[in-house]
Amino acid sequence: MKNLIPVLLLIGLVLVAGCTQTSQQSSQDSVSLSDSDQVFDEFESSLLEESNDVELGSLI
Amino acid sequence: MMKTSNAKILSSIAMMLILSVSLGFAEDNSTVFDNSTSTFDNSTDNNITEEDVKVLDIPEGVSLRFLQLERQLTLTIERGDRVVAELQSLGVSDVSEFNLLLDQLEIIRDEAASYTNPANIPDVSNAAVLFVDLKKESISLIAEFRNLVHTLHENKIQRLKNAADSVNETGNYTVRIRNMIRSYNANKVKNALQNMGVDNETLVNEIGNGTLIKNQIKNRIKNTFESLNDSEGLKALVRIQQRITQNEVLISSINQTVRVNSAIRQNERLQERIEKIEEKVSSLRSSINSLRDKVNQGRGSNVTGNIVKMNNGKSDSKSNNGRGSEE
Repeated sequence: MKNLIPVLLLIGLVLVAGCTQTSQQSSQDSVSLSDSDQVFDEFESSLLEESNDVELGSLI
Repeated sequence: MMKTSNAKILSSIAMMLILSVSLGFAEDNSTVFDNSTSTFDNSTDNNITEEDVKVLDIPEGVSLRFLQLERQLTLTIERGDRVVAELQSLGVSDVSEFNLLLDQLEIIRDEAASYTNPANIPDVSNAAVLFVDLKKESISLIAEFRNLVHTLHENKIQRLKNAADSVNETGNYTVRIRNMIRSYNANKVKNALQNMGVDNETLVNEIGNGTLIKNQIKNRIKNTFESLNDSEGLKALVRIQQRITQNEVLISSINQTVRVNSAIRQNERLQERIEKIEEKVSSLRSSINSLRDKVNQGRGSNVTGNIVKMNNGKSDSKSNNGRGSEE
């Protein structure tokens, strides 16, 4: 039975690695070429208009 | 004994499964197209907007915000001085509370001015938190000035408002800020092009020169993207999206950091401002004593005029060092 412990530990590690890899892959898979419009819209919103300013309020 | 071993094994497997599932969820949380939650929480802080902090991801963005803060504070201080002068012309002799507020705004303005060069920003996060703190403190001091005017001089509001409005912006802030906004956008595009593995200095320069508006910039980037093959395009898209997500995480982190120990940082800066004002008062006293000595030695009426001017709590100097909030 003791001999089974390293084997089971190894299986567990493989499971962890597999899940991590899968989730990383799923992060990439969540972007597809058809999403490009959304990505570039987000990019555009990160740019600034020249009229952009900070506001502090009026003294009076 | 056998039961103990079995329990340990089952326990190990259970732990690993839990860990695996947790890691899976942790990664899923960063899934890129979740726009359901904003990275900036406006609910607890109306003074700082999402627009304010969204540019705080690169030194150029942080410097831009500091320059805009410097510009607004310079204008506010000049208007404040005009309001104080108007109050004095209306016969108000004690303007010390107003001057103390303007002195504090001046100290904040000078601090903001020291971060208007991106090269002076080694740590974006710390500088971003400082910007948010300084902006909040400025808004608070300006509100205090406003409340004081309305409480003490309600019947003079229109004249004071006219006095404040008579001050227009001076200096070259408009041009500097416009150039920094263009530089910020150019940097963003340069990064996006790098993520596509494309070098397009012409496009970056066009943006730096301000010849393209936001929508045109997006279309030019999209055109570049569409010239890539599917494999390159997908890689580029993932990198650009990752960058956007990283930016959101950074802004969210700044948003959290500004809320931690905010009161402590505010008190520390208040203490620093008090010390600076005390130094200024001490320096003014020395100057006054020196001038008095000269007057006592009978060196002419011109000097007497200077003393009267300083005691009125006004100064013609650009830095307003002679505002004299100790009056």
